[in-house]
Amino acid sequence: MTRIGKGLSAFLLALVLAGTAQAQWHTSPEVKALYEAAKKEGQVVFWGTQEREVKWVPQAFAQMFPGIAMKTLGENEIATKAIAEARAGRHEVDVFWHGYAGVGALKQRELLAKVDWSMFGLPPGDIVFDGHAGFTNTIAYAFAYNKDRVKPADLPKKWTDVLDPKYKGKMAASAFLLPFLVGNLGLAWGEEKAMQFARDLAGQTDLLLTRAPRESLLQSGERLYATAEVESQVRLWAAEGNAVDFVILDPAIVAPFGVAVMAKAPQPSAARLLAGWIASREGRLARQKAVFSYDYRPGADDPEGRKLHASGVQVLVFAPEQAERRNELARKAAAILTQQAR
Amino acid sequence: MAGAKRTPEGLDWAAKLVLGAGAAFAVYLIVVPLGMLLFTAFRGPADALPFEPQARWTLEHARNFYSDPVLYRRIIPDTLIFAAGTVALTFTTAFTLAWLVERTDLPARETWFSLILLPLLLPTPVLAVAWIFLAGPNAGWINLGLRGFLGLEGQGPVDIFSMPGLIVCQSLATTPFVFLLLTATLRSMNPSFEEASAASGASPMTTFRRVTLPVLLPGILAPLILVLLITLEQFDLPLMIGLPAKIVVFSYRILFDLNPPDSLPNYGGAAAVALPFLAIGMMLLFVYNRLIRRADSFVTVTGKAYRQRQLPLGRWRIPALAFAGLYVAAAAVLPALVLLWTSFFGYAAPTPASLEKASLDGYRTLFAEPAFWAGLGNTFLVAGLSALIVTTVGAILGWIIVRTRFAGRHMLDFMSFMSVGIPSVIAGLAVMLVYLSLPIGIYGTVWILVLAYSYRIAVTTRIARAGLMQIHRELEEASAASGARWLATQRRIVVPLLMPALASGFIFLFIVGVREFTIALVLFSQENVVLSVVLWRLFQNGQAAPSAALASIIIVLVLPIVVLARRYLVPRHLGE
Repeated sequence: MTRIGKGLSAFLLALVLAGTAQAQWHTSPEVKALYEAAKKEGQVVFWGTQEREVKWVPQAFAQMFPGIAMKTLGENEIATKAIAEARAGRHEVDVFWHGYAGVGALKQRELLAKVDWSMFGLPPGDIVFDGHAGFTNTIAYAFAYNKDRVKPADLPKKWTDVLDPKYKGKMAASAFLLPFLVGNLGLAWGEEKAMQFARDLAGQTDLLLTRAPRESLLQSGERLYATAEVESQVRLWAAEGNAVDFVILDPAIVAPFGVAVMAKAPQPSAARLLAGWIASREGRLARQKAVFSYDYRPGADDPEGRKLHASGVQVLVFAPEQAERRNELARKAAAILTQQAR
Repeated sequence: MAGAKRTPEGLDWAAKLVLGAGAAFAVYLIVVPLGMLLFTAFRGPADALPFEPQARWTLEHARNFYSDPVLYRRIIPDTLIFAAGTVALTFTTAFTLAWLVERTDLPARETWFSLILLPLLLPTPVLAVAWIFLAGPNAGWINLGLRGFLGLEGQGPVDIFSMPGLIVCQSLATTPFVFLLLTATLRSMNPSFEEASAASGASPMTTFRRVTLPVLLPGILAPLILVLLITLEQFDLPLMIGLPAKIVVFSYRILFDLNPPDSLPNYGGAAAVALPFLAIGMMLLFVYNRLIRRADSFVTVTGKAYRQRQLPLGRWRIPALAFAGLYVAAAAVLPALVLLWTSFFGYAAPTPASLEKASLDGYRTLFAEPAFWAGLGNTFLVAGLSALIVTTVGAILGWIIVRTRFAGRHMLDFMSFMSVGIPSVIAGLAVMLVYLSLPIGIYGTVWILVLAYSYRIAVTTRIARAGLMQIHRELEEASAASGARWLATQRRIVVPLLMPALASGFIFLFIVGVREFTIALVLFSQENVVLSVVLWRLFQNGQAAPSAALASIIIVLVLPIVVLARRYLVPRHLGE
């Protein structure tokens, strides 16, 4: 065998072993001991940002680790609740799932525990916030449409394409998400170009900026397109029977989410076990199946992620240190989009 | 004697105990959210929660908001137009409906009463979506019908996404509230003044203008002021219907500050935006007190019994029925039909082709949801108990304000009035923080919701005060002179006479308690889940059929309670 052949074989063997180790993490002695301790604790409390993101977890987790009861809470204000409760000395939550900025807010306040994520098969790139959180999934902003009334050839390819007059009077957007899309675009394009984009959207497209559920507007035909949607949400709408689909435009704006264990988790063993499972390959596959959540990071081992990168769009992954600048741009964009500012 | 008020020496120990406890409890219920609002507005920076050690006193939030020229160029003008239009349309509609139901021989008055209240039963975002389905310019059902009937092309002719559209929708949603308060006032009014005016030769219009309106002034002003304040702080309809029309009101700033996608809410910014409501409330209260300071002018209930007079509508019967029918159709029946359709067909258009998609899956999904069953009991407990507390406390405060010389009564009046200007989310945050800190053990239970919901004392205080002003003191004085103690006098004379007002307040607060979801979301735990939270979550998660199914069920469950409450709590005749 040539040197290259030997090297390649060794590399492939390492990959297989790593993959096997990853796949067999739940049979390791450490995890088995953790599971036993978790069973003695009997229950675990898990919080996430939305009901749909948490309610699938108990059943899926129990398939690998039965015998641990789970209470869940899914709502936007969990960061505030966690901080307020911790400050009052009340520690109810064990595991916390949030966007990186929310996780960062809790880490900044020293409310998170450091975890040995490698025992759950997580590679180093998926261990974030100095070992205080594990990566779980990303969301990507998308352009949704009514697939019964729109031909694929009519769809835009870049975010700037939505300014085309053919979309005028036909688009809706979330009053909540669109400013953050523009804020993220501002990080990529620069403030001037992003704010001009917002001005053009507000002034030229007759955009229906609303808080109403956009799938109702798409399904009824009141609007044919919805810009700045979260692609996993659109997939859920479709799964609910709505005639909707989406495309991801260039540049693709991607935001990561992570899971963490609370520093004063009342059930620390169950907390580590649940958090580790959520961040593990099995947890991510279960999440994909339940809520269509994928990993769009460059180099990710995810078919949807690979498809996105192969499509040729530029993929921009939001980093937590960009949060302040992004939020500032989003506030300016919101003022422009609602025509409070020019 | 008519001008004399009670001094503390004139009250027995039971009276002092009840009044003192009521006032103290009212202060406790209001001062927490009110204090939180004031505290939060001046704590920053935005990335620190107001109660955290790194937060400091700051004018940053107020400065950012009040120095923004957009506030003066867009927000204030848009808000004023929206508020003025809504109040005018709401009041005209509500007064006409209340008059028809309480003072005329309109057929099926009790049915109309219940139907008019129907929009109150649903969270406003759900109503907004129903109206968008009906009047959206591209695919609204009304527009599809009109275009087909009139042979029109393109969009419209009705466009809900406009200032008139917003004003009409807000009025449709707010009219039941004003209607409820006005019915209490009109029911309590003794018609003898009007009869005397008519007997003296005055025309019905002259009687209405020179006798009826002045006598009703406190009962009219109270809902007028309340609806103005409520409209100013309105949140959901301006965002769902006004924002697409580029209408910018105060509440948009609150939304943006409170709902960042992945960082902490900016409570300070939101609280700073809410501060003007307190200032406006103070001004309106001052105006209200000035206008009604001659209290005896408004007395209509004396020791003499009287029977309510039902004005015969005659040839106006059909137009009256048409008016009531139009309101009920637009505000209640059509949205209810949209909900019912959606519960069986999702968001499919109402065409014959959609009929084959009928499914009970929405109901099956709902009934399989454990939170639905848990929420059923919790909802009625929380809504009923909080409504009872607020009605009782409001009545006590109203008596103190109207009947005593207690030095702090103006402060009580002011504080109760301010409660309407506190955004629900701030109230929820306040209650969360207090009960996290107090070792009482109600955090995470239904009892925290009962207390959190009970801060809206403005409504019952106003209507109790207006109701008491219509009742002559001589009734209580005669009772005292006959040897009855204060409690017996209240129980046997005042409360029965005040019952129409109290019942209206109770019904309103019960309905508001059923549909309240902002506070319930902030204080949510699996033990205190209520139906409004279940509905909101289904709605936000895009589960159209189950959320519409739940909305339909709420209407079916609550409406009979409203009918029964009105039938058994509100006497037909007063003074007998």
